[in-house]
Amino acid sequence: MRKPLVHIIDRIKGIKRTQRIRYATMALGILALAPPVGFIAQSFGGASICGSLCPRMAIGPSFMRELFTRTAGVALLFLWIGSTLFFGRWICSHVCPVGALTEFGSKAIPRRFKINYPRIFNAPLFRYGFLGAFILLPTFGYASICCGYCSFSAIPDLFGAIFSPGTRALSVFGTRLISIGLFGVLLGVLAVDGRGHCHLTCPIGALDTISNALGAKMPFARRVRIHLDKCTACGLCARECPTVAIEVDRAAEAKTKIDYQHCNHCRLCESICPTGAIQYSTLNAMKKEKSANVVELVHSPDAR
Amino acid sequence: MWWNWFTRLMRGKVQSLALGLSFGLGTILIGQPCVGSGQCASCGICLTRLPIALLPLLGAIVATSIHRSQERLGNIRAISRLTDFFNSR
Repeated sequence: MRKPLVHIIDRIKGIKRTQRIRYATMALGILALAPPVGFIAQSFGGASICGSLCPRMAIGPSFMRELFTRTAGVALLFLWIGSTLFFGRWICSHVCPVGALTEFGSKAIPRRFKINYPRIFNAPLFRYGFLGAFILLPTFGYASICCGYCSFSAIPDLFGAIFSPGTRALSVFGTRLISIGLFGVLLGVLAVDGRGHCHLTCPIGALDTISNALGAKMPFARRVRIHLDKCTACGLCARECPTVAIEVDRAAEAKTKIDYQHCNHCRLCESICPTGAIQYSTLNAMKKEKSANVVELVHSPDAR
Repeated sequence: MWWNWFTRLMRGKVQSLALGLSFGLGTILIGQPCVGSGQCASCGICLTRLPIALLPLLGAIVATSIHRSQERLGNIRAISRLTDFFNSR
């Protein structure tokens, strides 16, 4: 009994500080926005992020109606996208309970059984396609996605079913089982980082990606950035990145590049970089360190 | 082999965009009978439509899994024989 416990403690001790902080904020996000506690969700009259806090409902032609009827959801949407512009996708990677629940769940699945969705598809473009359908259909008079087939509803319900017999009955029977199987299992715990549904079928993720890529060009916006004079192009970050956002080309001037359309701001690259070349910083701060490579990269047309 | 072709196809930018769009359209159209009522009427229409929405996604996953295991296990005789068998057809 003692041996597995020591093993678990050793594994927790082995987690780098940035990742430990991320796991703590993810747990806090679950407590705040998912059943059974969901104290922030409950203060808005719901059990989870699905309900009056839902930021997805406001995307599309019903925005004006939602602005007055679901103000909290619209405010959350603006907070989400706006904060990404300045600080990167920290709400997606550090707070969102939907991604956090499946990411924690995926830790129990051996890696050989998992599917790396960003390696199969071009994840940002898949997301844009999904966002297109999400906006276009209601524009042409069709209704938007049924809540029963939304990951924001299915995944917190699946988690809530552990604690509530009522939710359990709702989740286990009927067509709801399909959405749980799809978002919770196939695109959830069976994804390499447990976030297949974030990579492929999140309309907020799609808007967030645009905001992330735009903000990366602003000198005062904080992003995970690469210090090119410290980088040895070892490729460790590119191999480990769950979103396939890092590209290493030893022959190029900028040996290592981050694609901010793919980057989910998990900061795993920052925690594993052996030379400390990857930092969560602004372009201005990196320029102050007089890194010639950084300055060149800023002016390079290839800069991303 | 079909899975190699399919795997290469899925990595394309236009294909990924089209697949996302088809997945979104499929999922939203699946929800159509229930929207407005606010709850599932157990009509089962979504059950019949769901495979259409999921087919490209599942196809891509299966193809990539086979492609990956083929790459990983390429030297194992049984896999080689199987590959030869399909290649000879």
